[in-house]
Amino acid sequence: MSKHRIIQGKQVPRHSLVACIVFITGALLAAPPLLAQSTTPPTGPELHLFAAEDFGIDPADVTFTRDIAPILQRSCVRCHREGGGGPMALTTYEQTRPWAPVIKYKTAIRDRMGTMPPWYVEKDIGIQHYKQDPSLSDEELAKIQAWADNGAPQGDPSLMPELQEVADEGWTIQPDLVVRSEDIFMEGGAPDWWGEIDSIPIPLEQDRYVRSVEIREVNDVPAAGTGRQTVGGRWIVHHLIYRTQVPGETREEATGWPVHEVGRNPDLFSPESGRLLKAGSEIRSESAHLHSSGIDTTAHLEFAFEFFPPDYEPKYEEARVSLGDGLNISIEPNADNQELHGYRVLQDHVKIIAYEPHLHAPGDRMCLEAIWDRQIETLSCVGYDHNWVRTYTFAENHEPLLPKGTIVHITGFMDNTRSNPNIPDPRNWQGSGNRSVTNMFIDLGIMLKLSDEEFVEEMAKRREVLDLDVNDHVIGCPLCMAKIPRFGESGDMPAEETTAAVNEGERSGTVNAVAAGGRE
Amino acid sequence: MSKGVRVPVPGTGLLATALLLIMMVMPNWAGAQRLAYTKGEPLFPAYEGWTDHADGSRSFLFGYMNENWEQTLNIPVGENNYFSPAPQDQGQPTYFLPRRNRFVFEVPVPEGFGEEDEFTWTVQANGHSYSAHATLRQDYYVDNVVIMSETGALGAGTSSPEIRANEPPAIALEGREQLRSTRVGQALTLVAKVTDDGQPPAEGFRNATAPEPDATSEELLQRALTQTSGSTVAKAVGLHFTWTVYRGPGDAVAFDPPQIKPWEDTRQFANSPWAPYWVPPELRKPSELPEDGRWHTEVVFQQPGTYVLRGRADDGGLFADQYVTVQVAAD
Repeated sequence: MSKHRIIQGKQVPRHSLVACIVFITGALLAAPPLLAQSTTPPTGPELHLFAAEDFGIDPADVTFTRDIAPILQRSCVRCHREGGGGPMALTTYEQTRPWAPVIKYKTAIRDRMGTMPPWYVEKDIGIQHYKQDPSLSDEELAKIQAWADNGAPQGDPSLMPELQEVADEGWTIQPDLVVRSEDIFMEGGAPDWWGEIDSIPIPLEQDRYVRSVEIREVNDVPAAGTGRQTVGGRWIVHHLIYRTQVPGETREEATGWPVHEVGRNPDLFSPESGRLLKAGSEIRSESAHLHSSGIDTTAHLEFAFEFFPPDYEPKYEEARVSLGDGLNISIEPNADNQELHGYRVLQDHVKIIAYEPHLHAPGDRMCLEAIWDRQIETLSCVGYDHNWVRTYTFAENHEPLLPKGTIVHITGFMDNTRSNPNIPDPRNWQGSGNRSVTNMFIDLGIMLKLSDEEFVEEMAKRREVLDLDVNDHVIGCPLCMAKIPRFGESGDMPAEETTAAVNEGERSGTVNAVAAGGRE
Repeated sequence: MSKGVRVPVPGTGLLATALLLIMMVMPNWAGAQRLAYTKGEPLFPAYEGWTDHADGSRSFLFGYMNENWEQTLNIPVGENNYFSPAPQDQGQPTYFLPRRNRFVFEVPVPEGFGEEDEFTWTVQANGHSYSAHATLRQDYYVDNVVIMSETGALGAGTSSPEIRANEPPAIALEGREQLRSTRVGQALTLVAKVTDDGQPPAEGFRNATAPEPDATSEELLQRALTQTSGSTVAKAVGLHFTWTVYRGPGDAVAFDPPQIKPWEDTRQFANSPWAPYWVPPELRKPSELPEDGRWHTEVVFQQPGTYVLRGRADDGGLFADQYVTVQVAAD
């Protein structure tokens, strides 16, 4: 029983409601006239509201300096600071106070389009451990809501935490190497475009394995936006499929990298599977998707690489698993919560490092499931906003470990209504395509391929690190509790028990040999 | 772990009541991926976008999605297949093939058509009525690169200057003018000479490969068992030419040889450029691309009436259409 009771019937306080209505009204007024002809009434997002009292907090005692500033400094001010890229700074009380109702509103959206910070993991389903997770806890939301509702008091100035400098020129990772593209120009009225960018030399004198890579678009789009109402107006590079290649190498010898997408966060590779950046290589791409911001825009891309130590060697190779359906997408007009489904049978045991939904304008949510034997388990559900495409890297010892034969299943949830500001005209049916206003449905995450021995080793390590007992279950590890000993070790499961389990399974016809004894 | 209650916004009583009333009179949309029905499902007219031409004129581009995997639909121009504002007939098809059909026809943008105007195509099929709303909104601006990308010729979006310079094929219909006549059961021979600039290249670009003529059963089985990607819209490129019925009772028409499907039959080994393993005629072994560029087709009609046939030459990226009207007399 959680100490956090669900707040039944709690209403949005009046002044916050006004702020919300102002926000929504503004959005509707800004919408193009044709949207007003749609038959579907717009609805706002659902808000996650909490009572401070349920966390033992006196709402009247919540102040900016002691309670709110630390939250903002951890999750917001990297962007919301002078020169940080966000539309307003939130580093001082004076800067923040006018925005209190909006901060309450945006954070309470929590896991859907429009929330801040842009991180959409649903907290009531699936794995909850991710790297670089900036999301706010229930208690933090309760504090913000109490603070905003109580007039946003400053509190004791002496309690204001010192603002931490943003290291590494604003990079989320700690780059060892940064390179940039040539300028890319996109006319304000141009149609979508796909093609090459100029190769980018990489000044690297020895091969290095990469721990993480981060790409950001730097452009001259005004911070207030362009006035364009559809998807991705802040950026022009909607995707970049790229590789690093030493001149003279074949495409097959080149290193492929995760796709850069509009508003993306960094890729964090597994400590067991860094990507090789070869000395003398250059970034090459024939697949940059440019989308007009609505005004003439000049941009360039900056690529930051963080390396593993020079003597690093990867342990695992990546599994190539294509998960999605880009062909049979059919999205009705004026309807939300429309499901798309994609499946793939795993040909190897895998460790899933990252989950990365890639949808387009109607994308609202995507879930990842693992189907093993009869059991269907949800690994992750996340909201989606095509202005902020996120990759979700599982924290160490929380990555799904799935046996070969598992069916991985993604479900996309599409919102083709006026409630989705990314949609140009929700009265129109939508199908598949590469444009930002047509649709993709893909998981671009990263999976590692495991041998039988490695799979068993990973599960044994998981049991040890998480200190699992017989009544535990690990989401995303359907065979962890089979307690298969490491190859060459004797297990803690008596042989007669294993035999009995197998016999019972054979009688019922349901136990898979891998689950019972590590064999197929 | 508990969570907070989710409160819809806006939430005032009056507004919420009004919204609720509106919701109650709206249709109860299914809102879910459809099962693979063979018939009885809706047809969605699709607005693909607008494009401009060298002479400064502009056109709206339309297609459709017939949700049925087998059912074709014959819907004459009229109350169930019309444009608004009038005239109702803007050259749209009346015979609808299964599944997704992109960039089927175009309609000139009327003089004086403004940013706030719109043009609507409505189709009612199997009891469901849907409309495509055409506007000049910037998001819907289409050029040849967009068309190639949207149809899947660029895969996930890969191109080159050569491919972006691709020009559509050209069709020259041999014989008499575009009005033909025949009788029920009597074969009509159509010969279309198709030329193209060779872009995009069928070989080495989208990697469609044909099995060797002497491939063993084991090799063919292994090929068939290999799973393909299809994470984005993907189409095998390579020149081909296809006749289909555009207007008239299409189920009463037979083509010899069987025509490559111009619709997105995505099932394995279907005769459609969107199907896994489909190989364009020039890469088939032996090649089925006519050396002289002349595509011969015999058409037999089983019902009298007036038909419009559409011949589409498609290099995988861009296409050209040729229409023939055939008057079929009773036997």
